[in-house]
This record gives sequence, C-alpha cells and structure tokens, in this order.
Amino acid sequence: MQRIIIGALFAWSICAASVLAQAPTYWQDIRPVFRKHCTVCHSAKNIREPEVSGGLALDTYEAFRKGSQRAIYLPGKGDASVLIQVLETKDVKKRMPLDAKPLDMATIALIRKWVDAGAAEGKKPDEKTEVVVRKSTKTRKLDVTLTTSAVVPAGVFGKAGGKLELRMKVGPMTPLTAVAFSPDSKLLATGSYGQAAIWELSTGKAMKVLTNVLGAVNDVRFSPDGKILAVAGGQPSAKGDLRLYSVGDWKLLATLPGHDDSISYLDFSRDGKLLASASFDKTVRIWNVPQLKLERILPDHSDFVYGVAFSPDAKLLASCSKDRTVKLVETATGKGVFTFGGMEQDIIALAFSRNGKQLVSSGYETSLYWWNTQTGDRIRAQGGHGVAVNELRFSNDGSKLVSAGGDSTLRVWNGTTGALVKTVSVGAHVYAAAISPNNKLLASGSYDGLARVWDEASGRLLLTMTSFPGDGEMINWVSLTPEGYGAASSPKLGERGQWLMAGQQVAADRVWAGLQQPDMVARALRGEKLPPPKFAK
Amino acid sequence: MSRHFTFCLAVCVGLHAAGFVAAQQPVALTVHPAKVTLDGPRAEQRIGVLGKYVAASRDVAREAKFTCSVAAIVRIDDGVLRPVKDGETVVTVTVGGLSAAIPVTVKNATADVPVSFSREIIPILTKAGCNQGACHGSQHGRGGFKLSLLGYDAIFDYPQLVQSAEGRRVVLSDPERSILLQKPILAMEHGGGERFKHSSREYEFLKRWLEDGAPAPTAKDPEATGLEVWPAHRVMVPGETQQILVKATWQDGRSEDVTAVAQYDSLNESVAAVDNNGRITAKSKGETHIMIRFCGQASVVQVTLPYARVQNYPDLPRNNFVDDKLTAKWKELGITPSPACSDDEFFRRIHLDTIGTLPTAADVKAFLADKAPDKRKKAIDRVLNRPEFVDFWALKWGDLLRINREFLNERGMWSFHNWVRGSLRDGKPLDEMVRDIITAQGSTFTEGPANYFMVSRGAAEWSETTSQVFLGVRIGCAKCHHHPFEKWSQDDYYGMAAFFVRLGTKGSQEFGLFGGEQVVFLRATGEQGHPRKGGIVAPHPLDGPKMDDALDRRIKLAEWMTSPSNPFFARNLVNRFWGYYMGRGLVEPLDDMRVTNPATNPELLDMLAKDFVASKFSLKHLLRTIMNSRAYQLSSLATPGNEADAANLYYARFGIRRLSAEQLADAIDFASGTQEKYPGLPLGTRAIQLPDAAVKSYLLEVFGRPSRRITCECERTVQPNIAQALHLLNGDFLNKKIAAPTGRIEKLLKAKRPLPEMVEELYLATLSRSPRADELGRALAWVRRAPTEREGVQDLLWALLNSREFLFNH
Repeated sequence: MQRIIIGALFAWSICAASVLAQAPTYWQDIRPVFRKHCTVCHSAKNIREPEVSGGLALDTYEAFRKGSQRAIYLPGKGDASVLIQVLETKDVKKRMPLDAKPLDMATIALIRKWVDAGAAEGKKPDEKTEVVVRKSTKTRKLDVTLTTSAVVPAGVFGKAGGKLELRMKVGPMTPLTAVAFSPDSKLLATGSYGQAAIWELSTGKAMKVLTNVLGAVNDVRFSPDGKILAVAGGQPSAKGDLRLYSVGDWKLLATLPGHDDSISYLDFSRDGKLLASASFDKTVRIWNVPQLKLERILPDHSDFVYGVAFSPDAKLLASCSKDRTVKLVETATGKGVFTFGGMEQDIIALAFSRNGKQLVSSGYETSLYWWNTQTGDRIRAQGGHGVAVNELRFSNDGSKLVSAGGDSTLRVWNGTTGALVKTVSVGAHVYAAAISPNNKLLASGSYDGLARVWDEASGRLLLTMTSFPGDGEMINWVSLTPEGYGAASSPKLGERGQWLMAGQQVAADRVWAGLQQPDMVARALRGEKLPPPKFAK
Repeated sequence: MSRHFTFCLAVCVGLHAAGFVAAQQPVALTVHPAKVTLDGPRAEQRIGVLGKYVAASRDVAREAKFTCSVAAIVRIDDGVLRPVKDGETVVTVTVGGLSAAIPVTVKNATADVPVSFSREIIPILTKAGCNQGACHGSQHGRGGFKLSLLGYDAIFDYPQLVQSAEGRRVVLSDPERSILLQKPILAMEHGGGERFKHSSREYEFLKRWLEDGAPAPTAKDPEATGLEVWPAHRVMVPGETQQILVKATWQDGRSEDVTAVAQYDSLNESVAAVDNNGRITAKSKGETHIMIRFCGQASVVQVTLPYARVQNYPDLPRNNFVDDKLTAKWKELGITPSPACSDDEFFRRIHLDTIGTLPTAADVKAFLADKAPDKRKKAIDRVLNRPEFVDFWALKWGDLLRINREFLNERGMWSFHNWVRGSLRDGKPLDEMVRDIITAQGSTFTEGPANYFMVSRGAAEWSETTSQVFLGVRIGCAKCHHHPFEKWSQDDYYGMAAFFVRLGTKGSQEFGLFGGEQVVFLRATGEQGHPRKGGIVAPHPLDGPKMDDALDRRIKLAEWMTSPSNPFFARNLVNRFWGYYMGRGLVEPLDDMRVTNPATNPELLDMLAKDFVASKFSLKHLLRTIMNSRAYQLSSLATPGNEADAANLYYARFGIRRLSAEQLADAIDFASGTQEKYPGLPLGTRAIQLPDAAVKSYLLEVFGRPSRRITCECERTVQPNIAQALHLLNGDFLNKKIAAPTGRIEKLLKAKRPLPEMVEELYLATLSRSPRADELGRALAWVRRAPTEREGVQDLLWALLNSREFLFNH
C-alpha cells in the first residue's frame, strides 16, 4: 500500500515537473481553444456589439489581458478567475460557451493550468505565415470553352469545315468579380480569386498578373491620375486585404491593414487623395492615399457593407449594406446626413451621379432607386434586372449608368432619366461592370470566370479574357475575339488547349498559328470589323 | 427488394427441439435488403442483419462476417457496401454458423457523375443542422447567411451558397479554402460550432461538389417521394441496440440507401434513444417511435420494451372488437387491465360523456336495481336517445367549427348553431353534415353552414381549417415551407387552397344597410398561384389526384373527403370521439394526425374507422361501439398489472378527467337544485345549451371554456389553476347556490325528510351513488354536531361539491 502511494507521488512529481517545463502559453495552447469555442463572439470585430461580445475580446493577448469592464483572470489564481468560473458554473444562463455543450474537463484543466502559471503570452506566430497563399493542390478537371464565330472552310483541316472553339481543362473557374478601366481607357484591370490581371486593350495581352492577394478580389480601382491601382480582397470572416500598386512597374506601394473581413468595394475621391473601402466587417474605412494612413472608420451599418461611393466633390460619402439601408455621411466628420430606407432586401450596389445630386442604389431590392442627395427624397424606383444588381457605375460624363445583373446581363441606363438604353447578354451571372472613361467600351466580369469587353455603342462583344494558374508559380492567360483572333501568355498555351471544329478535335498548333495575331486583336478593340482568319493548309 | 429472405437451417431447428441450443446461437437470420444494386460512384448500402434466437430477435450486424464471391467488386466497411468496379457478386453474411446470401450488382462505379445539389448536398446541410430553424434556416438567417428551412427550396439555397455576398462562401478553384468547408469543421470560427469533421463523409461530398464546379439544381430535379424503413417494428430489452436502415425513393424511380444522411429523433428519449447514425439504444420499459426524416419525407420505426413478461396471460372477457385490439396490445406490452367498474360509476360516465348531464337519483336507483344482464347495453341506448344529446354535441361541434358571434355576428351565429342542432336532432350522418358544410353557399342568415366561410377567411385559411377540423391534418406550416415533420409541401398546401379559390364573400343589404347579412358566393373563374414556383396549382387534395368540377370545385373535395376510402376523414373523427370518451386520443393531440405522430394502437384506429364507415358515418353507432366496449367500462383505478403505463396510453384502465366547464356548471346547478341565469338567454338555459362563448360566465371562463378563436382542440383546457379552487372553495358562488331558497336543500328541509334520506339524496345528486355505510355514519354525525340541521346539510353539500369524486369523471 505504502509503495503504491510513494509510486503515485513520484509519478505526480514527474508530471508536475514536465508541466513546469512546458507551461501553456496564450499563442501556443490557449488561442486555439479560444478560436474553437470563444472568438466567434468574443473578438475585436464584435467589441462594438456588446450584446454579442459582452465587450470582451479574446483574439489577441492584449485584449485578453484587458478583459471587459474588468480583468477576467487573476494571474496565478485560476479558481478565483472569472475565466475559469464561467466555464465551470452549473448555471446554464451564465456558462460559457453560451447555448453550447460545456468544455471538456481536460480543456478547462489546461486553461486553469495556464492561469495558475501566470497566463503567459508565449511567442506570437509570425503573421506573414498566415497570409501566405498556400499553393493549390487541386487538380483542374472541368472544361472551360471559349467559342468563336470563326468558320474554317472545308478542306483545311479535313474534308468538312466548321466553327472553331477552344476548350481548356482549367475549371471550375472562380467568378470574375471586379473590372476597372484606367483613366486613359487603355488598360482594363480585372479581379478574381487571389489575383488581379491588367490587360492592355491595344493588344488583348495581360501585361501583368498580380498574385498573392488574399482571398477573392472583390474590387480593383485605378486612382484618378492613373498612377495607382488599388486591389481589395481578403479572407472571409478573418481579415481584409487592401493593396496599392504602382501602375507601370506594378510594385506594391502599400498594404492598408485593418478590416476584419474581406473588402467588398472601393472608391477613390476625384482628387485621388482619399480612398474608401467597404467591408463585410460592417465598416467603411477612409484612407489618406498620399500619407497611406487611415483617416476614419465609419461603423454605422449593422451588417455587411457592399458598396461605397464619394460624391464628385468628395464632401459626401454614401455606403450601402445588407442591413437594407443606404447611408450618406459627411466625409470630413463622418456625421450622418441621410439614411435611405424603406427597402426590404440587401442593397448591394450604389453610384453617385456626375453632378452629385443623385444617388442610385440597387441590389436584391431589384429596382434602381434614385435618391435626391439634397433632400433625401426618393426620386424614382424603376428598372433593374428582376434579380440581383451587383454593381452600378456611371460613365465619366454622367450620361450613362451601367448595371451588372444576376440575370446574366449588363444593362445601360440613361444617366439622367433612368430609362433603359440597352441590354447586353453576357451569358453568366454578372458581378462587375464598368464603362470606359472615353465612353467607347463596356466591361463585364461574371460567374463563369471570364472578363468581357463590349462595344458600348452597339453592344457587340469585342474580346473575352481569362486567366488561371499554370505550371508552378505561373499564371496563364488567354484572350480571344469573337472572330477567333487571340493572344495568350505563351504561344504554347493556345496549342495546349483543345481546338474543336464543329465538335471534332483539330491540330491546335495549326489553328493557333492562324489565330494568334495581336494586330487583329487591337483592331477588334478599336471596334473594326475583322476579316475571317486564314489557316495554312 | 423489400422482401426479407429468411434462412433457417433445419439442423438448428432440430437442436433447438432437443433443447441444446446455446444462447448465443441464432436459429434464423434475416438480412436486409435481399438484393443490392449500387449505381454510381458514391452509392452505398448498409446491410441489416437480424438474428432470431429462441426467445427473441436481435441486431447481429456487428457480429456478422461479410464475404464477397467476386473480389474487388464491392468494398465492405462496417456493414456498408460501397462500389469498387462494375460487375456482379454475391455477399455472404455469416453469423454463428448461419449464413445468408445477398446478390449485388454494381453499375457506374467509376463514372464521373457530378454531385447533385438537391439529391446529395441538401440532405447533408439538413443533417448537419445548417438549415435548421435556430441557425441559417431562421427567417433572417444567421451571420448574413440564410438557407431555406430544412432545405425545402434548393433553388433558393443554391445562389445563397455559391453566388450571393460576392460568392464569398465558396472558392471553386480551390474548394478546401471555402468558408463553406472551413466553418463547419471549425478551421474558422463558426457560431454554430463544429458540424462535421475534416475528411468526413459530409466534408468529402461538399468538397467533391465544389470540385465539380458546384452544379446548380434545376426546378425539374426529382424530389424524394417516399421512405422505406427497416425494421418497421422491434421488440427490445433495455440496453439492446438496433441499426435502422432507410431507403429513399425519388420521383424519377431511383431508390437508394440514405441511412447515412437521414435524420433520427426519438419521440420518447426515456424509452429508446437513437444516435445520429440511426442506431437505436433501448432504455426503459414502454413503447415509442423513432422518427426518421429525409428530404421532406418522414417515417417511423416502432420500438417496444414490454413492461413485463406475463406468463399465462389471462383469458379476458370481451364485448366487441375494441377489446380484441386492445388486448392484443396489452399482451405485447405485458400489461393487464383493471377490473370492470361498478354499475354506478358506469351510469355516471355514460351520462357525463354522452349528454354532459348527471343522472337523476331516480334513474340511478332504477338502474342499480335492474337485474337484467344486458342492462348496461340498454342504458347506453337510452342515454343516446336523450334530448340533451343534441345540446351536448352541438356544443362540441360549435367548438370545432368555431361558432362565434364575434366572427359571424349574432344572427349568423344563431343560424349556424341551429343548423348544427338540427343536423344532430335528425341523426344526419357525419359525412353528409360535412358535405353540407364544405359546399355551403348563400346567405349567412338563412344558410347556417355558409357561416363556416365567415369564421376563417380566404382560400388559404379555409383549406387549413378544413384539413385540421375534418381530416386532422395540420398543413399550416406548408404555407411558407415544407412541414418539418411531415411530407406536406407548398404544392400540397396550395393544391388544397385551389378548391376554395373561387369562393367569395360579400355584404348584402337584404336586412337593411347595417343588417350585417353576408353572402357566400362562387365566382366562375379564379386560380390558385404558387408563391414560390409561380404558375397555377391545380386543385388536388392531400395525397389525392388532381380533380376539378365545372360547377363548384368544392363538390369534388367533399366527395373525396367523405369517400369510404379516404384515409383521413373517418380516422380523424373516430380518433376525436374516442379521445372524448376515453380521456386520451389514440393519436394525441387529437387534431395532429401524421406519420410521425403515430397512434398508440393503429390497428384499433383502423378498425374503428372501418366500422364507422360501414355504419354510414353514424355518430350514435360509433359512440355505442365505444361505450359498449369492455375497455370503456373498466375501473379507473390502476392495478399492479397496468400502473407502469402511467399516462394510460394503452387504455388498460378508464382515463379519469376533470368535468369540462359546461359539465361542471350544469352539475353544480343540478346538485344544488338551482338554475344559473345566462345573460341574453331565457332562464332555464343550461351551460351545455349556450350557443357560443360570448355568453358571459366566470365559472365557464375559469374552467377552460374555449373562446372559439383558433382551430385547435387545445383551446379547451382542463389545466388546473388557483382561480378554480378559490372559486369553488372560498367564493360566495357556491354558498349562494347551496343556500338558494328554491334550492335542493331548502326543498329537502321544507319536505322535512329524515336526515339519512337527505344525506343519501345529496350523495346521489353529486356523486351519482348512495353513500357507503361509513360515509353515511360520518355524514350524520357531522350534521348532528352542526349548530343547526340547515347549516349541517349545507356544509355536507359544500364538501361533496368540492370533492374530487364530484369534480372528476372517473
């Protein structure tokens, strides 16, 4: 009997020694527990909502130490600490996690041990490592098909002729969620998951593909002077990612941290000094661009903020949200001017008219709502896509308004009267739309992962573009006119895809030799009518 | 497919006969299913194995050995077959020396079949609880993410998952980065906690669906049309387990094992529990059902844990088929009934239950003195022919039809009330009565049943009320979403509404500008739209074919409802009346009949319904059958043989209940020899004769008279409350009645009746029986000790009126 007790004591002392040797720390042992059970409510982004967080955040060590109104732990005294008491209480109304099964004994013991040992911080993991984009291990197996109207005459590739199409095993594609023309109308920036591409409209070539953006790129914007490209994305429910690149050399000028969820929309003030970002973290942030610093946080929305827009004089800032309101505030003070309500669905898109007197909003509330920004009155509710409207953009001269619709169309509206001017059928749920500053082109980004450029006057498709991961770190891209002329990241790419003629596979190298003609792509983008491609026999 | 092959080895039977069978050797094996077809790369089939032993059967799937005649056709993990490559094989299941063979065909094992959103993904979201009412299925969703409740609307859910909020929930090019996968495995914070594990079946299916490019559902995707569960019924002992197997059939004829994705709930956790995978664990004695749900379909497995093993079950007397069906159930459960009740108990019961009225002292005495062997039968016939029968059942129908002057105005209320009385007086068969109601039209002042369409308003409400009152089916949920525990969908709901869509009501000035007459009329045209899918919904009753009528669609509905083959109508009515007479419906609540709320004795319910139909829907025939059964005539006292069934679910004794508000008001009047004056009605009008609940009476309010505002049996309550006790014990209400100058006591005193006779009459007027010798002695002693004889007998009556024996039908 005695021997057993001695043995037990001995074993216990070994245990105690090993515990002391590696006392738990916040970052190594406790943060993972908090992350699993606590931080969905007790996080920095919920601090503003005391009914959710109780004013307590546990997602950083500093926040944990601060507690809510008072400290939640006494270093070295686990049992006397509120943190342990709320985990162990029998009162289910007070027990944490609320409305869930209590933590198991071993986990509570771990937390107690940590507090008993002084609640050390440990070493915070390097944040950069969290952000690094893990290489995709996914095998792409679905076909993405780009159709053309190019008809190969009989006798070129076999007896019969037929229409050509390019089929590539690169799907499923992520949606193309952002498009923006440069101020000189020469470039088109597009955004999709983890990347932004900049296309040279004179050749149809992607002059640069920016990778390593976190999560889906929900918006891209050129600064009004054309020198900066802002790229916005982020990891949903984790952090926003806002990057400024220098146009031309594409150097990363800055990352602007702070949003706690992915960023949905951007707008530069007309003088280029301010940049506003709207986020799923329910806030809008205003950034000082020359100084690369945060100017102001607007926390007024109670749900995802989907859109943001400066008035032309930048005195006012409008934002729209899943909370079914549009809010208009003074940019300089953040003071509310008007809240536009009365809608029953999410407001996803909004745009300021050129003269600043009108504001247009839409979303799942499918009509386009035109608001008077001086009086706060609704001028009209008309038009729309019948289903979601995802983006609204005025042309630079204010004469036109383009909308991106969940009904797979782009629509152009009279910028003054709101009357429908034309409907362009895109073929997939449209997420993004833009009008080129010279008023000649429209761009669309859609669920099928493709960007398309259209002739504004005729609504004719001019160019289809897409990019996707290639070998290693490479990003491949390809663009194709409806006539079949195209450009690709490497000459091989056009050959590696399958070219089909009336459904039959034909020799890719010979097809591509006839189609890869940059000058023809350039002519297409100028709106010229192109001759049919010729193929060597 | 569904037949079970039973394999029995003669040699085992032989050993059994010799009495040498070891306890762990089964004498027969039943495997399910008998034959398997695995179609598609993700198909699976769990194999159920039931071993029959000498005394009982049990689940032996976990002990079974599975072998395959052709290797590499199927994989067998833990009793589940999964395809490897196309071909045919035979899987042999072996337990304790017995074996059974299952032919297996594998098709499309390696085909690239994209994951179906409606057929494969929605069930996963439902089972993981994502779309339940408390989470993303709530009206406003959760955390900005909303799904249709329990996945009834795949077309709505798809864009929510894939496209809305800028498509933030999925990353098609790299599925494992999708928050759709990261949140439920808690790789990211998730308010709903961990819903499934990394690499689990759920995770892999969702991932595969995203890899397939997240193919969208279409409006034409087949819907699940039925569930087949195995085993349908098990008799078990505490601690025993049983794996359930679930097969779903789809509109396109496909059927498949969905055991892994069905949802399981025990209706009574204390009798048997069920885990997330469909494994039942028997716990304590009793009977319950396991509810199984999948894609809007629902079914049950019955689990019985006998209360006792009754050796040599007694040969019980029987009066009619009711007793046969009940006895069969008692034998299965190992319970024995209480003995028959006494004649005075019986006599009081049939009066209260049939006419809401206490028997007179003279009638009680005559009945007790009657020596005829069939005197109970004759008494039942007599009570059924009493005039109060009309009063009492008009009251009940008034509750069901919500006859109420607030909805109908006073003249309409009287018109409807008097029509119901007339129907009962004429002995109108219930099918005819209901047909008259369903097809009524015209003036609410002259056509009584037309008022039915003034109580609830509009096609939707009319169809809900009609379904609940006459079919016992609550379809209200399906107005907005699929019923969570039932198969009723919006199609069914609006199919019912379509019968009433052409019906309208308008005011008339026949009785002056403010006469208040309303007219129920038919329009020549009008169609029911579908709020979600759009388009027109053709009229079709629940589970019935499409039907139309050029004159009035309601005629077809009424014909369908009252057809002898209707599965709901007769069962609903007999269940209600059985419940009124026995204290508890075979299905409870009385008006919530559904697959997942099964009857405690389904065979009896079926037989009662069949008998009711055969009697041409005669109410009196039904009541006569119930009252003549021995079950109705059992004592209400529990015996050791049935006390384990605390809730008296199986009717092994009479179910006691408090007198209803109206029964009590009239019984107090009767006992005290007074007559309550109800406002607006002539003196002499009894509580059971009141036309609606607008007639003020504190007693009736306090004792749970329904206000007839909602279509629910639950509106009438027998819940005790403190006001009831105070009203009877302390209030001057009873004192005034007892001391009334024209009351029973004053009459007795005036007649100078001897005290023992007075005591006996007070007993007969309250408890419908004579006092026992000891009671008489104590009563006499009490009265004689009182300051005056008047005060003494008044106190005695007060005590009797506050006794439980008076307040309860027992």
